This record gives sequence, structure tokens and C-alpha cells, in this order.
Amino acid sequence: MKTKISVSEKKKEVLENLRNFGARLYGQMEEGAFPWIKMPSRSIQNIFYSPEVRQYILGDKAVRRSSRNIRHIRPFTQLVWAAYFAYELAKNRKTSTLRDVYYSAQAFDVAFKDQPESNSIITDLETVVGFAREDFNVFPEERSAIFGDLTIEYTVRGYEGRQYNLMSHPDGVMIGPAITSAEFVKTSTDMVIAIEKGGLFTRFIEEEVHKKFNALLVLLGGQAPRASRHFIYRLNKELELPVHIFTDGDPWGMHIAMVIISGSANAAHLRDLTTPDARWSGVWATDIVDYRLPSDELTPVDIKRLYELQKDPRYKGDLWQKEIKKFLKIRKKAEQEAFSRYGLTYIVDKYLPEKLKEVA
Amino acid sequence: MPKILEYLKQTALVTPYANITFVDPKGRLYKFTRVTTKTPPPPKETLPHPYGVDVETMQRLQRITDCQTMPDFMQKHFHRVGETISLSFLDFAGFIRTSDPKNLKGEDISRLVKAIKKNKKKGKNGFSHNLSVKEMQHFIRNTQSGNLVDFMKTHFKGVEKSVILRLLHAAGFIRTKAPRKLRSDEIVKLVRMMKKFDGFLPPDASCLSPLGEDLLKVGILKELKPEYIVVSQRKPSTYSGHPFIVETAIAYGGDIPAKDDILIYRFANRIPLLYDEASDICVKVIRSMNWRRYKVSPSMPIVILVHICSTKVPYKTVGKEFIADRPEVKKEVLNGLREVARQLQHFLTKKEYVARERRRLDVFSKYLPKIAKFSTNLAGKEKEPNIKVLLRSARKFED
Repeated sequence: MKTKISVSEKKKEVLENLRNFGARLYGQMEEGAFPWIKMPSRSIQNIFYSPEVRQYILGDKAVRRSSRNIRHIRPFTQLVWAAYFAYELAKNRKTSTLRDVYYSAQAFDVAFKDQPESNSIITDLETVVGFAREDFNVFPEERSAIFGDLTIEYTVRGYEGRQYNLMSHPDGVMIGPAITSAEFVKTSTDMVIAIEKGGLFTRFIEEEVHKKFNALLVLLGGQAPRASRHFIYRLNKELELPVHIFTDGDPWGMHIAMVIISGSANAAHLRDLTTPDARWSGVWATDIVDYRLPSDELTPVDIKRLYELQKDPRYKGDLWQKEIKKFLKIRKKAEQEAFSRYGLTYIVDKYLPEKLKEVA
Repeated sequence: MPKILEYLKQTALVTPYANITFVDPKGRLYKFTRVTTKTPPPPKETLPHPYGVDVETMQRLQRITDCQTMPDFMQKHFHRVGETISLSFLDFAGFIRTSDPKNLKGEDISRLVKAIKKNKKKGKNGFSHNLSVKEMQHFIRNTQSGNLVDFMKTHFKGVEKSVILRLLHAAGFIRTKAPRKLRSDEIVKLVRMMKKFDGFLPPDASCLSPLGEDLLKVGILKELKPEYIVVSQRKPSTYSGHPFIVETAIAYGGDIPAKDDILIYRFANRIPLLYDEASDICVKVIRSMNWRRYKVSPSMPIVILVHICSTKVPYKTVGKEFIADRPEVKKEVLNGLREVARQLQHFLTKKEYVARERRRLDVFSKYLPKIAKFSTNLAGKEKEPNIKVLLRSARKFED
């Protein structure tokens, strides 16, 4: 373990930032000023792709929100409340969801109009404090899972110091708040294989891919939740494990991999969610041809999406451009399950070893 | 509400000094209590104004008069008609005869000269040179004029006709028919000429009895209990020789219910007009006004009141239900309504401003304490920051 990011250190930092935020406003009011904040603008015009950081970042444009402004004061109050709410959560080591946040506000008479409004306030708080909402214990609903030989040590209340091996349960272990906040103890694995769909994840466990390839298996469950993206980042950074991502062979699958690798514009204000060295290991357009996979026609929406991706700065790499062109040429797409045409174990016995070799 | 009650209520509104008690057929008692003992000054009795006289009235006056001459008749029976105006009018209308200067006897000439001298002594305009009887005789011999008025005008430059007429009248040179001997065609002519003559003075409004701004206010406050009230009394005006005064008022809010439309109360000489509202000139004027300009919308709780006070209310029909479309009346009603509407606009603008600022302040007083509380909590402080100063600085209006 080279770059250990201590979970408890990070928690302290989050609490510290929240406290400072409150203290800043407190100071402003003590001086007889209407409290105000300045934070980077998250408007489209201020989101840029940085080739150095290999993800989207926010530009120099900043917005000033002042409680002096009648139109700002309500969202401003909600932001301060959200900080208070997050602080209480983190302090008491409780977790919560975006939906909880939406409802909890009502008890403090700072009710949100709707869920998007409350989500946007939480995003504001992320921008102001500089941490993802998962760091102040606001988790999304969707969960992904992990399976493999990794021993972790819990930091959640009631489980402090307890260790657990993630191979203990054959269905995999949900990447929830407890796993996210756990410290890594040890692992014998050599790589991480992230899989888009649950069916294949289970097949991989059954076929003992974790043993054959000495790998940790991660179920993404479609577009990966940010907690999982951060977890994969940690696996890559702390344990120095290479990451392979297997998705469907279509523009949407490609993009699932890309968001893990280079992040999304929506998270431009956050760091430590991307794993730039992760590899998209299939299903490629060329695989559809090479393995003669059963395939479907690309729909007009698929094709439109491909043209969009072609121009996207994240897709500059040769592999990406080559595969996009191939997709557009063959006008076909294939799912991960398409390999079942050659028998259920074909993907594990034949395709996976070949692919990992090719990518490496 | 039954019409009768509506009638009584509106009557009570314009007579705040009256106690009205009414028991309906079911034995229910309605009381409208006076709130003041002040009454408007009673109207003074007045003569008809020449503009407003019709042939019938003229005939009646002519038959009963004991005046022997037309100037006397005019002065005695008509409003604001004095010697000068009566003479000017009668001359204009062709009811004056004077002798041919050539027919004047010696004593007449010396009387005329004396009258001119007397007139000069009084310092009136004209007749600047000292005139002798001889000179006058010389003028008379050489004149072309067939009557004295013409003669005087030709030979005494720069003298006003009215002065000449008065002088001749005083010296007894003017002859008219006795009013009682006027033929019917002459009566018709007299009436017609009265309408044509532009030298009559406008009628005096002391014969009218408007309610007055103060009493009108008191009455509206008593019956409608509004939040805001503005009243206006126009200066007296006339139509066809009839003086009239328009009083307008607008009441807003308070106990006035908000209906789909503005409520209109019409009065004529303090009598409520309840019927045929749509035909009334006041209503037409109100409808023609752009109320949005005055920040008034039909859904507001508003009562508009128009009171027309006149010696002859210009009713359209014998039913006396609504006011006819007279340009002079219409103009006064419009100006009166504009006046009160402007005042209402000021009030509404201010009210709107205060309401907006109050809402603003409400927002600040709702959220600032929360910001203070949450940040105190976050910062781990004991005492909350003092936000009273901030709230005070957000306040932009006075109560």
C-alpha cells in the first residue's frame, strides 16, 4: 500500500471544512455584513476538460451568493442548513440519502421545492466544501457491489476495528457507506475487473474469475455510482491495482467506462472520482467483428450519441476514435451476454484471457 | 339586499346627519344612525337663468308680472340679470325702440345733454368733450341716423354701447313694450334670443346644495367602512343655464367586498339612482376610463360614487332614473373621477410598495435568523451573531 488515503483523516478534513464554512459566515455577521460566499461557477461556460488532470475541471469564473439579495437568501439559507445537516451527520457518523435531505429540510422550515432543487444545493455544498457528498455521508440510492480477496477494516459506528474479507459472501458485498468508509488492510489480488451487468458479475464469481485471474470483481450496475467510482479510484491509487472495465459493446457501455476513467462534466468541481489509468477492455466494435458476435442494428439515437462522443475531448485517444469509427462503419452493437452463443464459459475461458493480454 | 334597503343605505350614505329607521313588512327593524349633526348649507332660492328658460315658463312669467317695462321684467324675473345686461340683451334681441333724433323736442335735447354731462362727471369712459345744447342741435341737424342709439354711437367715438344704453335708459329715452302685452310670436323670439345671447353671466351656484367633501367622507366612512377614501368636489359649472356641481368619491378596501366589477353609486341632488345603471353618463364615463392606468383592476374592492347636484338634473327620461349625456356634465364627471382616481393611484402605489417591502422583510426575517443559527452551530460558537442591525438595514419603509 503506497499512497494510503486515511479515511479517518479525510473525515476530519471534511468536518474542518464545514466548520470553517460556518465560522466564515459567523464572522461576516459579527462584522455587521450580510453573509455571502464566493464559489466557482458550475455553468457550462465554466466547465473545461483538462488534459493534465485528465478530467473535467471548473474554470476561473466564480459566482458570489449574498444573503443581501432577496433572490439568493432562500437558497443561501438552504446551503447553510445543508452544511449544518452534513456536519451533524458526519459528526454522529450517520448516513443519509439525497431523498432524506429533501425531507429533512422540511423539519427546519427551509423546505425545498422539489428533489432537483435539493440536489443542486447539495452540489453547491460539494463545491463550497470541496468534497463529494459521499464524504459528508449523503449517499445515492443506487448501489454497486464488490467481490474478491480484499480485507477491510470498518470505521462505521459499532464496527470499528472489525475486519472483513470481501470474498466472504458469494453474491458480493454492496459498496455502501460502510465499505466506502472502510480502510484497506490487505489483498492478494493483481487487478480489478469492473463489470457493467449483474448477470455477468455472478457468472464471473461462479466461474471463479477472481481465482483464475487473481482479480477483484466490481459490479457497476449501469452507470457507476460516485461512491463506486471513488472506490475504484482508491483501489487503483492505494493498492496500485490496474483496472479493467467490461461493458456492453455500444456507445452507452463505452461511456460507462469513460466516466470511470475521466469523470463527468457534472462532477467537474470534484476530484478523486476518476481513475485515468483504468482500461476499457470490451466489448469493442472490433470484437463484434473478430468474434463474430450476435449483434443488433444501431438505432438513430445510438448513432447520434456516437457522433457526439467523437467530438468529446475525453475520447481523444486512438483506441476510442478507432472503436467509434468501427461502430459507425459496422452499424452494429452487441451485449456482453452475446458471448453465450459459444457456450456459457466461453467468455471466461477464451475471450477474457485474450483480451487482458491484448490490453496489457 | 332588497332594493328598498339599498335605497335607504345609499340615502344614509349621502345624509350622514339623518337618522333613518325602517321596519319592513316582516317586522324587522333597520336603523341608520346619524354620525354628525352638521348639515350642508341649505340652498338659496333663485330665479331662472335666461339660458334655461323655455317658452312655457316665459309665458307664465309674462302673464303674472307687474313690471311695466322690459328691462324691469328682465331684472326682476331672471337670475343674474342687471340693468346693463338687460339693456344689452334687449337691444341684441330687438326689443328696444328709441326716437328718431330729428323728432326730439328742445327739452328732450337739453335733457340728453344734461345726462351726458352727468355721466361725464361720474368719470365713466367716453364723452370726453364738454358738450353744449347748441352743439348737440348741430349734430342732430346733420345726422343720418334714424334712432338715438345709432346716433350716439356715430357721433361719440369710443363709447361702449352698454354705456349709451344705460345713459339713454336713465334719461328716459328708451321705450319698450309692456311685458304683459307681448304677442306669442314675440315671446318665442324672446326665448330664442335668450339662448343666442352670449352676454348673460353664468349662474351662481349658491342655489345648489352639494354635500361637501367633509360630509361625503363622513357618510362613506359610516356606511362602507373602507380602508381608504378620497372625495372631490368640482367647481360649479353650467349646462344650458342650469348650474351644477359634481362630487366624486372612491372608497377602497375595508368592509367593501371584492366583486368581479367595480361598484358604482349614483346620486342626483342627494337622491340615490338605482335603476338603468348602464345608460347613465357617469357609468359610461367610468367604463370609458382606463383604470389600469390608475393601478385599479376590476377585482379590487372599490366603490365609485358620483353625485350630481343641479337646479335641473339632466335626466334622460321622465322616470328620472339616469343622467343624460350632456357634454358639459360629462366633462365635469370625467374630471372629477380623474381627480379621485389619481389620488387612489397614489394610495395604491404606496400600498403596493409597502406590501412588497414587507414581503421582502418577511423573507429576510425568516431566513437570516436561520443562517445565524446554523452557522453558529457549525462554527461551534455559543452566542448567535447579532443580526438585528442587518434586519434593520433591510427595512426600507416606515409604518
